[in-house]
Amino acid sequence: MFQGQTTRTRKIYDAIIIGSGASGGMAAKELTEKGLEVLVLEAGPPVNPSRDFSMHTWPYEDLYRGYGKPGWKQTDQWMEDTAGHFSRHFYVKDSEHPYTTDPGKPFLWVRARIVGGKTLHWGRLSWRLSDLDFKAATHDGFDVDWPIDYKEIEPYYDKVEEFVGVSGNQDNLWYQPNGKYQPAMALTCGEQLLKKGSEKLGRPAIQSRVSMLTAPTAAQKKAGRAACHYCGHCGNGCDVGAMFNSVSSTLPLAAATGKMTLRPNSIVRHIIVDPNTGNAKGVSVVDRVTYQELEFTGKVVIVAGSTLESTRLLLNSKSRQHPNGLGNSSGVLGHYLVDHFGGISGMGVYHTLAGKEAQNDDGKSSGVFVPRFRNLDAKTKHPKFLRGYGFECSAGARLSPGAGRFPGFGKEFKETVRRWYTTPVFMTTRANMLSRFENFCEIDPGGTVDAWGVPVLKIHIQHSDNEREMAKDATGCIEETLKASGAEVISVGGQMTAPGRIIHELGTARMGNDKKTSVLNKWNQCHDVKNVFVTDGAAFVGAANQNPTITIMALTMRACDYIADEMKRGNL
Amino acid sequence: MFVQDNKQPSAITAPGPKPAKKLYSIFALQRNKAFSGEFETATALHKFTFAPKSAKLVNNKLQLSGTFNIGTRKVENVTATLVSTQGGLGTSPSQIASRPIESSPDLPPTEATGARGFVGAMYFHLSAINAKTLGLTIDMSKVQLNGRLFPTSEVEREMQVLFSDIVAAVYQKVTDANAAGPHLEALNRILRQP
Repeated sequence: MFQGQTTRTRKIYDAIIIGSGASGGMAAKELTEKGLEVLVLEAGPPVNPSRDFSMHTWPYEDLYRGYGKPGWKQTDQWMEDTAGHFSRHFYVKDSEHPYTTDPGKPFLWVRARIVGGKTLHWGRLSWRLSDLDFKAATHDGFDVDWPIDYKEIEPYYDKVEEFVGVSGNQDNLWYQPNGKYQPAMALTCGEQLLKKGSEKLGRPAIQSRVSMLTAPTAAQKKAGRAACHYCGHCGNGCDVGAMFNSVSSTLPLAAATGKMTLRPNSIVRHIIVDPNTGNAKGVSVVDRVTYQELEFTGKVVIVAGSTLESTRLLLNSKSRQHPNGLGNSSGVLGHYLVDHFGGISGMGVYHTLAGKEAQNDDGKSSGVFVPRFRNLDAKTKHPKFLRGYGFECSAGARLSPGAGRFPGFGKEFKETVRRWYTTPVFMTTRANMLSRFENFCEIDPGGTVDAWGVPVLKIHIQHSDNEREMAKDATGCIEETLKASGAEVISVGGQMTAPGRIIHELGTARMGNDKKTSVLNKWNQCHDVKNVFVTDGAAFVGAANQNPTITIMALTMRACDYIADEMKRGNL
Repeated sequence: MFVQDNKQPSAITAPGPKPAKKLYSIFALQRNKAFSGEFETATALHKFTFAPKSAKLVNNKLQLSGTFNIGTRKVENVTATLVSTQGGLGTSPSQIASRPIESSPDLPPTEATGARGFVGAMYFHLSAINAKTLGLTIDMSKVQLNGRLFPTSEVEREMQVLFSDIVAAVYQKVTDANAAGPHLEALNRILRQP
């Protein structure tokens, strides 16, 4: 139990899974159901939903009315942008988990070291990618295509959506494929107005597809999951299981097989390589609390610790056979880092909705989405940028951001605030950032370490003019959409978010057919080390503009099928 | 589905890291001109302060020198060499925010980027500290100080701008020690003030 002494276990697991979030949880479920014995290593603490989830906690139950002690965020979790007082334990403390950046090029890295990872507070939007995204290079000549096409991953999207429970509509857009959905959540009045306005401009607006149950299947009910009741505080932890997360969905099924060992508080320092074969033989771990050093042995290692943590681990796993990091013979590991960008947004009010009563639907955590409408074909080609963006929009009862500036006081002021309570409409951009080699991460050359002595990442990333032109175009389109929908426009524009803020960091261990230009093959398997798989967002070739989690889970499921087959064949 | 027993481990009450033998890094917030924080070992919680008295460039790295203390016990002439930084996000200091934006004027800027960039956290390597002098038995031979800048006073705001300017001058790919000179002088003036 002391630093410096290493405890080695004799047991050899079929697979060691690093991470317990969207990808790690799915890998645990899939592999245990196929009969494999797995060890899931989670860097953070265990979670106890009855104490750790605060979806139904009222602000007045907290001394600081739900805001927490003044200054806590800036002094403890300054980069954990989405952490609130009731959800702060889902996130890391920046004081213990440094990372570094270049001067003038900030990166916001939100991290969740806890059983369940970021699935405890994710945004839940669940969009498939299409061949417009998988074959983007064929379409516009920039960068390379993914090594897979839509047809190859389609059956896995189907299975994932049915398992996690995605609500949405069949909208029949070729570039935003249909899926296996539960009934969509209804649009609010304001969202219907926005949808009509967008469609007047020839831009389809569709109900958001979200991983939240609206009509649970028998299997989901049996697992104790219930339909969403629109309470609206999903990011504080959903304790009815309506929102998909690992804790309610994948990990319980893996545990029920009796073949999963879950070890929280396990920070993986590096992957241990067999000096004779160059393959992975296990992992070196330090206990988060006690600093005890441990080693675990497995036939296969699945790295699913989230995009940048996974790449950090591979870069930290240097050995004689892999001097530049595990799986890095190409020199591509760490490169092609992307995030989506947002920040370009607009807000308006619908006078026609003033003075209405708030509805239960106002509490739902979905909205309306305007899928990409630029560069779909020759007709929609934009002269100044490649790829495209979509708009995440919502309208419904909420305190108007400008309420504090309403004139008057007392009864008159309260009536004014109430009158406008049902009128706001919001639009914000989710845009594709191009994958570029020069946006990358490396182990900090300055030698910075975390609280456990593990070397940290230095992240080098910035937007290019392609993104800036896209942002300019989005500003104009937001304004014309709001106007077309009949809203009074209150504000439009803003500055682009710094990379990382959208929490869709992707790439850095990209898939590809050529081992000289990619880290993984089409099965998420390291070209260089056949028994190491990277199944999270690090594997992405490009970001597209859609939320990535459903694709991460589909790729994980597909990789697990491959792993099980290869094991049966004796290849792993 | 869920563990409903309150006796089960919970993330809210999860214990923090408690090293027994070696201290890797410690967190400190800049308050006034010093960095103050606390760290936990296997046996106790220790409040510390690192108070720099001077600053200079050594091999184009910023080096602060000063006193490290825990309670009444202290070690003099501890050096803190800045090895890396983390860019700040949110509202930049007013002196920085008023600078011109570098990107094309007709295109939207990115938050806290380019001329609007500033330092949010600084990672220093401390010179070896004899922990016995501080009454501790833990290894403090290679400790990293994670210094967070979140100014709440004029002197802290001024120092954040100076730190940002020094970092911009000598922590880029191309370094310019001359450009850091005036900022270093200004920083030393502040550190020398009683």
